[in-house]
Amino acid sequence: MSRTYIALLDHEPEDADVTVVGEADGGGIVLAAWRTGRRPHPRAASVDPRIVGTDGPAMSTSWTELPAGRRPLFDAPEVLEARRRLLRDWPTYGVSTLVTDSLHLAGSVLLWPGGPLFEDDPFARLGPSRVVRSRGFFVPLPAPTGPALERYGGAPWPFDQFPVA
Amino acid sequence: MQPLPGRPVAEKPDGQLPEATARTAWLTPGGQVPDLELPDSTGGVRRLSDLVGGDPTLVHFYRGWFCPKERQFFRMLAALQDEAEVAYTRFVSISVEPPEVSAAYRAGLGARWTFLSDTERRYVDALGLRETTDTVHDPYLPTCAVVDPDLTVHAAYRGYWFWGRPTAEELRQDFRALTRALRPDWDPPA
Repeated sequence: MSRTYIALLDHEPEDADVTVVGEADGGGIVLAAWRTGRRPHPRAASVDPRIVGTDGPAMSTSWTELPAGRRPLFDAPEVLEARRRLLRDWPTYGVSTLVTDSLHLAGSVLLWPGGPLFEDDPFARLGPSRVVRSRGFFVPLPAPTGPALERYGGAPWPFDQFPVA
Repeated sequence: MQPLPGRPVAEKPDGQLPEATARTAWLTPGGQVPDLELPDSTGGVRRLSDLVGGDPTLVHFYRGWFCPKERQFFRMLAALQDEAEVAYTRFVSISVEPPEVSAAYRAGLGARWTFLSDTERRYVDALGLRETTDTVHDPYLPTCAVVDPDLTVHAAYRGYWFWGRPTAEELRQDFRALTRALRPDWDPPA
């Protein structure tokens, strides 16, 4: 089954389907995306496929990457509460969790159209987060309907459909 | 005299149903909710079929924040959302209130589902849900439909009188029946 993977990298990978040079911590950084059946890079994590698109506007991203060994279970109360909060107070542009296995939360990307107003990103409380500015990599995502907030077949939340058999 | 809620409406002499009744023909089990397209509480336009996706869904028309019966009913839904959030089940609430009013009401309730605004009353008459007895707010008649993913009505409730509305237990039963029919692994694979 094909998934969409993204990564923040120092150098442009040769095999990515989308690469964009963005800005983080005052310097350049590469945002890379792949649509593939297997994890394409050690730093790549799968996201809600609807959130990646080359026609997206300029936006800021609160990009949280949780180090291996410090990744909570996706069903842990703190992860559940973060999803619940975002469902209640949906950000203007959208959000996706990052997933590298079927059990754990690997991080998140939360999109925002303006400045770095990310003190309210509930996933950023779970681990290190940085603000990444880019254009033409992410596209806005409408809020999930709710109140359902479980993952569908292990897909990164908030993707809200089971895989077609 | 206006017919009492829940009572059958008499046919006209020619056998035809009154026009207002004919417009609500969709509001019976097996009927289909039209695929409405309306702004949500953030102002983004949403299509009902997209919001329903592949899950059992409560489509809920309500008068507005001003009605104490609505406030009471919403308190029940807000409590039920804690069950629905783990049950692949969705709610959509629809009123004539503007998105910013719906957003404030939704936030005050702590609701985590989608609210749609039909400020222009685009669908009120087409659905036969204009509450003609309230000439001040001109709202939707309180109405609930539990639908499957293709918007077919599984159960319908007219809430003009409060006791016409579904209880939490009735909604649980409706969602159970729909989920059982929808999920091929309801009986877990051996």
